[in-house]
Amino acid sequence: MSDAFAPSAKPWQVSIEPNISSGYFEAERSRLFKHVWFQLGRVEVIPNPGDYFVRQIDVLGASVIVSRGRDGVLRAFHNICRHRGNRVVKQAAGSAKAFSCGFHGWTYNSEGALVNIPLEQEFRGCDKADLSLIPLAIEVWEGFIFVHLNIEPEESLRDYLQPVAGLLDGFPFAEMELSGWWSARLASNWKTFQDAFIEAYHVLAVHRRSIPDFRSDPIVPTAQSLGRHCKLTYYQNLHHEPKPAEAMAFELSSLAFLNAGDANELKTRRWASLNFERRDNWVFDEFVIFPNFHLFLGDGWMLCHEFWPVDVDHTDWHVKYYQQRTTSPTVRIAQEYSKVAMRDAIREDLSTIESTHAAQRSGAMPFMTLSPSLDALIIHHHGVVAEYVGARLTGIEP
Amino acid sequence: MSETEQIEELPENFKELERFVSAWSLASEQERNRKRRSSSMHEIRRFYDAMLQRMPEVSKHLNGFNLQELPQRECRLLNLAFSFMEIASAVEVYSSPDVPDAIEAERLTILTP
Ligand code: FES
Ligand SMILES: [Fe+2]
Repeated sequence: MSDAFAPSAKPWQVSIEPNISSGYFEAERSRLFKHVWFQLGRVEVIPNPGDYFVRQIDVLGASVIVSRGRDGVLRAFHNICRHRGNRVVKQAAGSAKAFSCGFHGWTYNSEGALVNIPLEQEFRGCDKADLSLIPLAIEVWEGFIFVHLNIEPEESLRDYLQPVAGLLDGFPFAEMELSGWWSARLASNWKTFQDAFIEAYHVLAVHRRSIPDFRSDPIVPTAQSLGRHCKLTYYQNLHHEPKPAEAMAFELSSLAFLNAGDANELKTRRWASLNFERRDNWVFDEFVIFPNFHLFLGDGWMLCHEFWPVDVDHTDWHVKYYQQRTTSPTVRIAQEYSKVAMRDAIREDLSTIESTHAAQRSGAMPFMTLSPSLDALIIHHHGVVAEYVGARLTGIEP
Repeated sequence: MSETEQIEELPENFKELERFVSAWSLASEQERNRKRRSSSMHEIRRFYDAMLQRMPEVSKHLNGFNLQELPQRECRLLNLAFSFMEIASAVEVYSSPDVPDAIEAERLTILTP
């Protein structure tokens, strides 16, 4: 899809059909979502043997248990009892020596092995060893837990993430601490929802209040296709005049949100992976990990969006904001400014999504008209989805 | 000293901010945001003006402490400072308690621990 990023490219007309068609959604379900790695969260969430969490993945109709065994190893299982298929774990998260099914009491250990069948003599000839919880493939990259429906995936996680995986070596993921977590279910197709977070063109209008003096230099943020993934680099107005609370936050700590910090300092930071172009007005890089995980990385913070399709018209979204761990109350005050600014801006972002989907749903308009530069990542992302589905991005180049 | 007075106590130098403690010294992002959205601009402005004055001293005072070992009174002061950061944009940016033209606040679930 790299031609989408060619400077000479003409605007693209991309069909609305994939955003509103149930048939297309079914194709995404069977040809895309069953064949990709999904990011489910950070390893720090389940640090100790016996810790687990459960995630519902609606698009796959699956409930997945991620568990840390007594051996310290992470495993993922379908949350399905091998007796008659009841959900084994009902809690969203916790710590347990064993998982016991509430229907008839079959019990599994943290490694997924079936350890007890009440009245086992009535199941003569069954070997418990054959009836472990059904595993998914699980791998960890930079502390992010990924699972794959296929226990023997076509590609390892590392291969799947290429060329992104190597780019971020050195970002201090382990120093990040969860400081904000927001979620919503919107009446929108998952792609339309994501599209609102992969371009900076909207800042001028959507964020006209919160970021009134936005000026990107260059005007168009740098878009880069990275295999099925992609990346956008955002710039800020260096002549931005901070309001009092913002100025205070930056004075208290260089880790406040939009402050890119000292450019020279940045150049020498160990996470040389960011700000590839070494611009003084760099503010953050956004990595779009296919299909539904967006990772924003800045100086001392990261933001993780997850977009979970429910059906063609609904999406569950979670966003987690992480900031550099600190013991200083003063730094925390500065970070609180950044977190609130981030959350308020995200509420502005969410304002357009349902109305866009509803309007597209009417079917009155056949295609979107996308700029090859400003909307580059949208073209890229819809194109990769189409490749998986076996469709073509229709209406290309008018 | 009555119980309410103790609960609202701040470190020595910040007595004049104690009148804001019961309303604004809130421990979670969710409570602070709810308080912001349910307050009038008049009330927000009063809190903002009082805090803006004192923020440099607030941070100077808290600077000597470890976040994980904050005494009660310092903890109350820190939560006031967090509330200041929560409401600052209402005064400085939006001229309105909540964010205008944003998705309804109730649609966004705050799950911050
Ligand atoms: S379905 Fe789980 S024990 Fe019967
Ligand atoms: Fe935005």
